[in-house]
Amino acid sequence: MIWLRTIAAFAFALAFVCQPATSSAFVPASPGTRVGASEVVAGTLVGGLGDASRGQHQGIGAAYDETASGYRFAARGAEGLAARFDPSRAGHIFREAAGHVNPASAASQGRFARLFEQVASNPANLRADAVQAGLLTQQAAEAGVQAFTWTGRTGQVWVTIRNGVVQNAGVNPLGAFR
Amino acid sequence: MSLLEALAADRGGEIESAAAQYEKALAAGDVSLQVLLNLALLYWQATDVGLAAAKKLSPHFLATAGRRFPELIEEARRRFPESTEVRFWKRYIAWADLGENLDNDECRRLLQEDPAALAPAMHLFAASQGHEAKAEAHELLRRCRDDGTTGARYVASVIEGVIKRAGYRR
Repeated sequence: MIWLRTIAAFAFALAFVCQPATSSAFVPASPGTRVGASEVVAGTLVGGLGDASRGQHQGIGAAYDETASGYRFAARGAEGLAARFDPSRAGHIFREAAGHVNPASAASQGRFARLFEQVASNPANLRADAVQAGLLTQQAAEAGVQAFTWTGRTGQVWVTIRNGVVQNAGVNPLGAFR
Repeated sequence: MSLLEALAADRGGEIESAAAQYEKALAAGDVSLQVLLNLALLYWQATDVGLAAAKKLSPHFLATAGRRFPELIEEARRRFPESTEVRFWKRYIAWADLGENLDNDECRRLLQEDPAALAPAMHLFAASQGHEAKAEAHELLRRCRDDGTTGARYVASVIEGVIKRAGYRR
């Protein structure tokens, strides 16, 4: 299935290359069809996360196959997650802004929510240098906020959590990693 | 001139330059509600990982931003204790950054107390998935699109996101 993996990797790379720097770069065809490049990223990065088989994941995304931890995200069930996405925070997290994603469907939003939970549930992704790296302010760190990042070939998923709840999250494109 | 320059830089997305100009305006004695809130929200948004990364904001600037936005909100609260907008942002930022409680009833009370200050409508609209404070949120969106500052862009992005999600739930 190397050809399938190559296509997925190409789509993933293309999504980030095409991702605009500002929200104004999106031109809505109509309110219902407004789709940003992040949609492609979501589909490619997380695929059928959580309900897909191992075999399906091997074909879905190079991003998920490229590290062992990434692959574990795809294979693990919801019961193993330490971080929880609170849907009441969707307005703050999912929006048209730099480094954020604005999913075009409930399914896509669900996949991103799950991705954020998984990134923030893996201790290997915890950024001990969060303040120095500009992921958190000193004040936020002192208040107990933690930052997690997971870097794929073409994007950096970032998540901040406090008390086990995702506070903010998004995807930084190439050239804008922290 | 600093305020005009600050607004121009802010609307142009020049975060560090806008902050410097707003600070100049404050130092020159223009301690208006507009300057305090615009600068507080600009600093607050500068600490957003996505924006900070996209604008390549320096760790030094982020440290300043993280220290200054609570100071400015507090200064605004002290100088303009009647402002429902200031009270709202103080609570909203604590909710957004730290997950502190933000009661919808409190937002309703703030909106009732000053129906012209529409910021609480953003949260009511978002929390109800677009069902509550619909007219106020749409008016707020119109104003924010006209305003174009960093804080206004945040508000517009939240409201637009809610409208988009309401569309795909239908």
